[in-house]
Amino acid sequence: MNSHFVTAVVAALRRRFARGLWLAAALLWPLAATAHLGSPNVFFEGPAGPFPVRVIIETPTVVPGLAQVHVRVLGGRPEKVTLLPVRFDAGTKGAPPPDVARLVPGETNLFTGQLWLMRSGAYSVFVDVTGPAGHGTAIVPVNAVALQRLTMPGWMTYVFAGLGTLLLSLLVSVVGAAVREAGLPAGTAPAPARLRQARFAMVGAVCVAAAALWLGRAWWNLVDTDFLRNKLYRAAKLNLNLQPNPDGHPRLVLGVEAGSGRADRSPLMPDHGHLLHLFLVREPAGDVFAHLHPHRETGAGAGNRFSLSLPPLPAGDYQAFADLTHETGMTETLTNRIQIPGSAPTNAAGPPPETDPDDNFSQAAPAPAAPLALEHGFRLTPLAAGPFHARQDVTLQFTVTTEQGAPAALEPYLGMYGHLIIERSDGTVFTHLHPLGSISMAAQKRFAEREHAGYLANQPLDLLCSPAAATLSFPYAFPQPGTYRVWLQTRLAGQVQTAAFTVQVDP
Amino acid sequence: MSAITQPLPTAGLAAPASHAQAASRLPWHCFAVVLAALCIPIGVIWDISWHETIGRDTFWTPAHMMIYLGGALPGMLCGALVIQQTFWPRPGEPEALVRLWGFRGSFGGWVCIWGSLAMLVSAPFDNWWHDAYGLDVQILSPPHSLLALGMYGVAIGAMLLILAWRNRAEPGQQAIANTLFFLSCGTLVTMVTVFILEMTFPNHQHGAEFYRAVCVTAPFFPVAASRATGLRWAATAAAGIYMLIAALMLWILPLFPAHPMLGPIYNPVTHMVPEPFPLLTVFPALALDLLLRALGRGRGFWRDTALALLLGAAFFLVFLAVQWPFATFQLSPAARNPFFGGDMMWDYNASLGDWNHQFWERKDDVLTLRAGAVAAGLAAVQCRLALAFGNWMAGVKR
Repeated sequence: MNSHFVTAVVAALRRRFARGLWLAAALLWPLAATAHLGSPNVFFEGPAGPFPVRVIIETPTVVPGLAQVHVRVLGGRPEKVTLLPVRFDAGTKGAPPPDVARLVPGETNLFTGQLWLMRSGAYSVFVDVTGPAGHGTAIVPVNAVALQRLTMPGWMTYVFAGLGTLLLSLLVSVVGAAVREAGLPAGTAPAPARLRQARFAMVGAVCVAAAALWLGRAWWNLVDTDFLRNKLYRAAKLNLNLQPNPDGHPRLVLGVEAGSGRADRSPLMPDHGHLLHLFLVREPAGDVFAHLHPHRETGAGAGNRFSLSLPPLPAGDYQAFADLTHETGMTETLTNRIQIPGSAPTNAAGPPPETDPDDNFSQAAPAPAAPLALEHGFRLTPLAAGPFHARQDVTLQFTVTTEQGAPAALEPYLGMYGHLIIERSDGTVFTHLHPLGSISMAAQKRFAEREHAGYLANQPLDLLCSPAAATLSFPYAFPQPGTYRVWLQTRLAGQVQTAAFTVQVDP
Repeated sequence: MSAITQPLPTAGLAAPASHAQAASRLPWHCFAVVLAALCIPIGVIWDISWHETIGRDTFWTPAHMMIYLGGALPGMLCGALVIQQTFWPRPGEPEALVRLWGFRGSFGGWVCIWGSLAMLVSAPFDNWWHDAYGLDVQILSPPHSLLALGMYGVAIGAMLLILAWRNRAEPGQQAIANTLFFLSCGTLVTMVTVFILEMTFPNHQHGAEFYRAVCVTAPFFPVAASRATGLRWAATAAAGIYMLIAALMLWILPLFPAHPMLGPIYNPVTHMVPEPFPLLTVFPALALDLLLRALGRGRGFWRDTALALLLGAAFFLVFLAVQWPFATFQLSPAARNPFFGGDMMWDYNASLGDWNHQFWERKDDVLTLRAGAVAAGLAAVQCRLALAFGNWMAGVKR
């Protein structure tokens, strides 16, 4: 109740400093991750009908909680921006009235607002923009899960201890007064026996209060344990096993075990045409990078077991990241490590392993961002080489040119013209970006299809495609300082090309 | 009690005639504190309805303002009185007050101050709790318990303020004080019933947990009121006022149109969602009054203990006899009307289905003979504590 006052004050402060927040946009320190390890905030850049928009959503760390939404309309003259939280199972029919986003003072195209996400699970924020050019909707999928359990800061512990002591002292004194004086007629002083009784009563009150505090602590511990076990999000577990294969190439078997945290898990659905995207990074140098697509095994008891014949990766200790999307729109990134022996793949006697056509891997140690020669004479030039700062809204841009310096004709790879995979060197941050941002396209499509006949009727549904261009742009904000590895993947002349860079992010 | 008191010399303490005349009237602050305390359960029920209907709130919602009024006004009023009575006392006043930490004030006032302070402390605790575990949409949580203790403190303080005056007054002057006393008792019964609301939906009312929850909360204040005042229908009045408050809220809230402002919305409500029809505690309270009238004249530890056993059993059995069939009725189509509110208590977040009209029976929650005995035992413990509290309240004079 009174807590809402504090919430209102925080909201007012946030509004006041929204402009600064935008510049420092990303917002929260890395937490347990969902679709993006250590990088829970959502970035989207794409069309809302006739308006190009960039949306950043700071997801709440607990549910129910407030999501902070920033919308920058990159073209046209926006007059009104509204935000609508849509849960996967309720659709727009079960959504509350939309919130009108507030224009940040001093800005002409930056809007901000807050949305309550009341239940854990998959949501989409429908961003509606209205202006002279018309009206359009952008759908930005977002996961609502509890990502952290707040610990009480030391100063707050002392404040509460002080207030608690004051309350208990007053209570004990009141109990003493109840026995000592409350029943005496006016003008009568308490006799020594009554004073003694009052002292006993106060000791009793201390005992009762201590017992109440002990019970309260036990209750708190129960709530806390329940939160940690059942409500705090924990990603599904990724089991990795290497098995011998008749063709001589080891077979990697991936088992996905359900996690916890009320994430409304459901069967998987393909994103970019695959149920699971597996990224392998050889540690500690990050000099081998593989983007693979295991197939789900069939048969009784297979469940969520995937496998693939490993390409001839060099031996080493690999960090694995697996991206998957549930039918609800919930996305997750699972992680584990695996030791891959070098001899079997490279010395295999059999034919090359059958792999998915979209699979690829590259060997190149990431180097500081600089123009890079690609195969077939193409050239990749990073346009924003830094320095970067943590939680700063940035656009990571790259141009691809031919040998002659002309813009290269990019070809879609997995439905997009570019994929940017970012990993902090210690593995605590991992994210997979497209020019559209960090959202899951499959989740977006699922929400769009459901609302096509209703909420989105008579609106263009060009939600997914970013235009082909020789310059690739990726909206992002590095969540924390450190050294990051960046792999850019695009298809040129029918071949997937991977460029690896390092990026230094300052505090 | 009188054996361990020492009368002070009264020379010089005789109040002037006008002061004595004024003292025969119930002080205005007693009215203010009792009515402010009444705002608390009304505000809480209104706030619950707000959360069930609209969902989104701010610091300034009317329901919140009502709770703040109920929490802050008694504390501030009693605090101001403590300062006045300590530093600028009226003639004869210091000798009729309770000393605490160097200050003087009426005992009920001190309890009110403690209650207000506890409510205030619960606010930052509750805020931190929301940050740590999410905005809770539940009534039972540690910070809410501290808030509830504070609310009880305010309401008990109001009750003691009235009672102290009543106990000093001549029998002919007690009528208004009695009314206010019953009102404050009804306020407290409403508060405890709201606190267990999550366990007392009609769908719970054939389960053992429901009867335990009611038996551990509902008999206390009616029995204490009866014992403290010795009035004939005190318990019935306390329970009746609770039923009246809860029923009025059930009938009035749905008159106001409102729509959910949070999602997901599974139940598109169009008016304020009320709480279920009040529990029929007035009937067991009537039984308590009759038993107390017949057997409650005497005093003594063992006598009161035996009486409490009887009262506890009577409370449970009568409550079971009336509430069990009434629960069946509440889940039937016959109760789905604005008077009984049989199908009106489902919030915007509830996915409606057959479960709304069924008893939520759990295998571990069957009301067996043993479970019934436990509930009756809990009621007996409550009654025993209430008799002791009532005995003490009967003597409160400051």
